[in-house]
Amino acid sequence: MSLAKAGFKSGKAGLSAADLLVQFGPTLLVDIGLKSRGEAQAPPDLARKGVRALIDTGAGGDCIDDKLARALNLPVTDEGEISGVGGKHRAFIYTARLYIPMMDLLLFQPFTGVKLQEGDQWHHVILGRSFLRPYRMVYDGASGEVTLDKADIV
Amino acid sequence: MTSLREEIAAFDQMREALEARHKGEWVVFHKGAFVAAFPDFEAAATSAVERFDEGPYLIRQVGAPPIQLPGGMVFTPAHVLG
Repeated sequence: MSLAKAGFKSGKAGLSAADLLVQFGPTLLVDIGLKSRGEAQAPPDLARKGVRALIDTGAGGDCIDDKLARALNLPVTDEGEISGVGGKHRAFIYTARLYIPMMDLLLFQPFTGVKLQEGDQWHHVILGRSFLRPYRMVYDGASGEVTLDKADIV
Repeated sequence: MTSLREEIAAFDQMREALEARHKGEWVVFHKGAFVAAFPDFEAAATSAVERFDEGPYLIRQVGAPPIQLPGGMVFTPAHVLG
């Protein structure tokens, strides 16, 4: 039994589940905010729910859409510079609570602010290798399924 | 947009001492002063949010390399830029 599924169960609009996985990549629905508004014993109640998060093994750290981070009043907790094919620009690190209902996982994460909405990206959060550190991920391109399991931390 | 100028300046001033005593740990700076060091980000953020809410405050791992982002981009913290 897997801890979470991040692939696609069935196809849509003429595309198979495998095609959707190619198009969108491994995706989790996550809740984002700074503080839970719920009771201590209840599931975390964060400000924004059901945000699409891409699991990206090509990224070391996690990213959040800059506009979303500002809308949620997430604290800027570091700053620096992003460099790459688009040149260089000033960037911020935001601290946020991340809750993944499917995994019943609540944790603080540092997120680099990037312009996902401006770039018409389907995802507003990117989870990189630092998030994946405690898990075993199986990517089955042929079926469109992606599963996450808890692995023994070495 | 919040500025962390005071906190980053304080970090830079203490960098040698932090690298000697807290390498790999996460440190919190608030109002230009060192607050505490923590073993992981979860502990540092929990304490900082509880004490300082929306900030501003700096949370940084001592001696951490630049962060690799998607598409071959790299995030370089201000203190590395010089």
